[in-house]
Amino acid sequence: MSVPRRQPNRIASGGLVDRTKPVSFTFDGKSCGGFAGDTLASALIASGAQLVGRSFKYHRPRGLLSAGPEEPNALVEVGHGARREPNTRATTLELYDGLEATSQNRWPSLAFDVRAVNGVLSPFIGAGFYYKTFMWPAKFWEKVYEPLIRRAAGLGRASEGEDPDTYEKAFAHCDVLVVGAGPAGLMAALTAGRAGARVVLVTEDFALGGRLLSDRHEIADTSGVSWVATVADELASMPDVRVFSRTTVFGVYDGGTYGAVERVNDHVTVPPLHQPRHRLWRIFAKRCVLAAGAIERPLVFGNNDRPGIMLAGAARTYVNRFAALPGRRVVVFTSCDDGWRTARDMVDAGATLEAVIDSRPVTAQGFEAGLIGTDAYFLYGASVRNTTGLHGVTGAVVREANGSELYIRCDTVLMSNGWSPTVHLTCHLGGKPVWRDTAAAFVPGSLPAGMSVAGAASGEFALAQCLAAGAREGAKAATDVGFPARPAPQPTADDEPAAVTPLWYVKDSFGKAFVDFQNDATAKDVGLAVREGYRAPELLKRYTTLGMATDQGKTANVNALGLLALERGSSLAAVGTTAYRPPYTPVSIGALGGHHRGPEFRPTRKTAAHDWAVETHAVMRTVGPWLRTGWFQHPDEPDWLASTNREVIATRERVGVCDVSTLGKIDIQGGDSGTFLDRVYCNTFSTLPVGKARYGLMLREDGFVFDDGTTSRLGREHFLMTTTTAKASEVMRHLEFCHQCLWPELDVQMASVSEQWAQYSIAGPRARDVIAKLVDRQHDIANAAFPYMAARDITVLGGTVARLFRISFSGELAYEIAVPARYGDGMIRAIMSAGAEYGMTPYGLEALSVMRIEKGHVAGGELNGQTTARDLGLTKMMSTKKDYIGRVLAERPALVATDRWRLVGIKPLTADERPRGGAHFIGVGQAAKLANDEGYVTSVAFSPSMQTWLGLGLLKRGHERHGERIRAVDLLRGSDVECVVCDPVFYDPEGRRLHE
Amino acid sequence: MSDLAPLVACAPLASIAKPGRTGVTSGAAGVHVRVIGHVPMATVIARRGRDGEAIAALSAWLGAAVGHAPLRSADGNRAVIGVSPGQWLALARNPDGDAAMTLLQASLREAATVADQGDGCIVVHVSGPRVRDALCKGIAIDLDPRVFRPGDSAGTVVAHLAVQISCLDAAPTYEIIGAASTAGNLWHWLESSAAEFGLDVVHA
Repeated sequence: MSVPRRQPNRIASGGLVDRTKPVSFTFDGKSCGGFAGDTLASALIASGAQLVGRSFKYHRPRGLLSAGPEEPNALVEVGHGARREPNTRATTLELYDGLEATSQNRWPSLAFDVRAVNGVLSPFIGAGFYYKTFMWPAKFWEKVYEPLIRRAAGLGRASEGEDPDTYEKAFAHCDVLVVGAGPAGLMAALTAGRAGARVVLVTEDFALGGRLLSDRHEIADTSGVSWVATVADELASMPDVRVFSRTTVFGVYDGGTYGAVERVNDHVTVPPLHQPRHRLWRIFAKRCVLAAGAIERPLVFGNNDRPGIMLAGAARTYVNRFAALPGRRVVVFTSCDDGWRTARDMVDAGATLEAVIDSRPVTAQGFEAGLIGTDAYFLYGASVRNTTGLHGVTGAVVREANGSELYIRCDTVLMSNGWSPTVHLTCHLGGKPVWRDTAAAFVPGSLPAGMSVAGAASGEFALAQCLAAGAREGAKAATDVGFPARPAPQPTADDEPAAVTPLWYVKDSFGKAFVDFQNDATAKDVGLAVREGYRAPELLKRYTTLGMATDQGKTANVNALGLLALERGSSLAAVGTTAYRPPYTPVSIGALGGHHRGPEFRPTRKTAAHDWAVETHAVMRTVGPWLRTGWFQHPDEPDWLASTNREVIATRERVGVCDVSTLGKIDIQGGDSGTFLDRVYCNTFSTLPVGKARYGLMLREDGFVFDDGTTSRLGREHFLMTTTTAKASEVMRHLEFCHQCLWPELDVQMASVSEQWAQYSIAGPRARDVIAKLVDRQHDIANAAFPYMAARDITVLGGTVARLFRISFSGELAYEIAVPARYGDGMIRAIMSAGAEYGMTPYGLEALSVMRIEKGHVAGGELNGQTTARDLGLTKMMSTKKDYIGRVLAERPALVATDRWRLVGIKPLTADERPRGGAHFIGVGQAAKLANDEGYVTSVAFSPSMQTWLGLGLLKRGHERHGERIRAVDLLRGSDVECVVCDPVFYDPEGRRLHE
Repeated sequence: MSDLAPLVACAPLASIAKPGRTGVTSGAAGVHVRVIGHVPMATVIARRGRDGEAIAALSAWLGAAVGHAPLRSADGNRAVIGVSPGQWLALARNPDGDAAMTLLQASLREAATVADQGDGCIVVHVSGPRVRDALCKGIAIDLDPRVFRPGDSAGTVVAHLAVQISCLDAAPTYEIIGAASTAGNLWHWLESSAAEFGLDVVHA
């Protein structure tokens, strides 16, 4: 157990911290103590720390402003090394043993910060300073201004190490989602839960209760805290109620979808084994009751940001919930009834009340009655115009109603300007909050479908109102979705006074009066923005940065809008708000990624031969979702080119094998399958004899080439289509569309069987010898019986069903043999054994590519979505005897223009000069500029058979220019290679080898 | 044909899903996974206008009623899952699965076309007291026993992978059918998601 450390500001008794469980932590390296149940903020207060951070722009000393997620000042770095997390709000961070927290945005230390000089320079760096200053000269931007601003900008430091923790994403479903577990949320959950609805209750806190933990209330003749415990027990006993604590609903999305992040393990140093740090929930809810409470507004007066100046309600949280006293000599500055309650609680907690300064004229409520016996000043119609102090407040300068000035010594100023409902989630689908004068607040306007709002979030601040509204909305939500419910009986509770007359700005403030603490935006900045024409809330936000950054102006926005209304001389209702967007509070990137990082970033498809390939020293590469072999690396080969050359030569001279399982395979059956294929391919398939394969070319509706592949006829009404690897799913989708939407009358059935078959291409002069050893004896595979383009069901190796296709991509005598995928591993090993005596060589994508380029076959580089069948020299495939997709639009003038870029072969004048893929064709002697561009190189390979580099390309009128010289110019990689234009088929143009 | 040995089948999960206990090792495992070896299965698509005949043939083959709904009807080692209008996935567990599929093709005659899929798929059965807590980390559909009941089936996505999930019994036990090529990704997701509850793996 850790040694209890001195906690000078810990109140001797009370609070909800567990004094039997001391916790030790460090802040800026100094060890401190607290208790289980503390937040970092409450433990810092108990330890006597008042200065916790430096402000963003002026580097002013700052203390805790709030006790919740709205905190703009107390942002700390937590942890070290790769686990270091910047910008953590001390007010929501649950204290744990071993916590290491460090203040940020200061150098060299929190007490002495060099950049505090910005505060002195502040007259020159008001709103818009950067926009106005870093404009000229333009060339300074990249070299001088940007690095300068980047160094000064930003809050905290990213860890830069790889995150050692894991994250998860999960889904939850419920009838009623209740957001917030204060009095309204608890009543809503209780009511809906008792009716039998599936309820999800979410609270961002680690404990249920909301403000009931912070305030001293009586409910049903017991303390608010005991009432919460009773309700929590009942909720826990309901099997269909799930309570998510430490969870923030950060966004509302379409169709009743809510985003939430659960901080599963932010309250421990290292998450337990197999547990995530955060879990991102997508909650699907039929109804949602928003009971998110409200956020207190600060008052805007001179030097209102000194450490020790705090929201009044936050001070109540610290003393009542955490038994931590934020200060001993207290001034309360309020524009509302609620401030008086703080004064009372502070006195009861043992602080000395120096003054209550109410900006309103004398109230009739008799608040002073509870404060009899204090020597405090009670001033009405008065305001604080300035404060004194260096690293903490030491006194308040008060302007009394009669105009006289009074200096009151204190170490704490607690301020309240009323409360703003937490309307954020009501706005994420476009709802706009509306100003309600009686609540002096923006309340929810139009709501997302299925959402209702209860309690303080709707502008009903008094406890009895909150309890009643929660029960009412919980009952309504449950009833709506089929669980008839009556509101849970209303426990007795007080309806405490909650009047407010907001004061947006203390007029004769002295010094900086901060509106947005996180962005150091002041009342003066708002005035400046309005004078410069930025009169709309959204423009004001961009110009002053007010409402930006990690807190998104939770404490600042409404005050700013109030000031804007004053400046414009209009009402708040007319001014409106900026847009509230998700997330409500920051969400870790890790949670958004969840399981999908590193190798699991996206699925990786592996063929049945994957393990064999890895054993055979395959160098893998990613092709779309697939892992495919680039080449097989022999230990003595210096680079990929050497391996590729070996594989090509072996295949061309003897025999090679390549895994082609990744090609898309679509089983097409039905009485109209031939007709269907005639319509989707530009060439004809209905005439294809059974047992034959044919090369097919598919166009898009707009006439450009879509995909190609061979399709075989396995039976009268049975075809097997193959697609390219890249387009497999796109083609399937296209075919489904064609059948379901264009020609539903056709009797066609399609199924993707890409995964069902493992398929290997065996190519080379000895291919038939190898096949003969694999195929069962009864199948005649002699050249006459099984000629080029034959396709047939066969059996291999003693009865395993298989399919054999005599098709070739390499230009050699070649077969593709397919077996059910579970035999894929066995088959590749069998092929290797069968071919051993002939020098069987496995080859990868690089060799495949070399051979297809030598053969002039088009592939991805040429089928790039911008080429037509004519461009590729495939005009003959476009049937003139039938209609097909793409036929009409392929005849558009631009697509049949004579000067289009057409497929050509290119051969460098010097065999070892390598033209680059993507290089542009420029005429010999022409300048390398756009006006002289005549096309580009689509594919390049080194041909070991011809001992030269060669390539394919698209050249203006290329088909008429064979024999001409052209340059392949690549200005990016600095190459300029003179080539001869030639026919794209370099290798065996007569195709003799295919038929051998 | 030479003297090469007959081909030996190799299941995609055989080398990936290690039998035994993984994840948290204390206490009883929260999730049980039974990896089913090769299951002969096929896509059955009714020919135009012949849904009724196809359903009749499927029902006769199965010995239980088959319909148009996304349901999994099962009898003994055979099952039929409705995957889309006029389209089913027929499964027949071994030892006589292949024979059963041949019989199915014969009994469907001209009413429907059949395309084998068993080699392209992996099948796992998942159960245990924390099974829904593990599955909800990737499966978006509502698995609440009142919503997704025994016999219900759905095509959905988990970890970016298309899967067919069915509820087999009230335990509940879920059958997940995924693609063979991404067996590794599906397994890694399942193993990670169940790890905090303890995962017990057996091969059937």
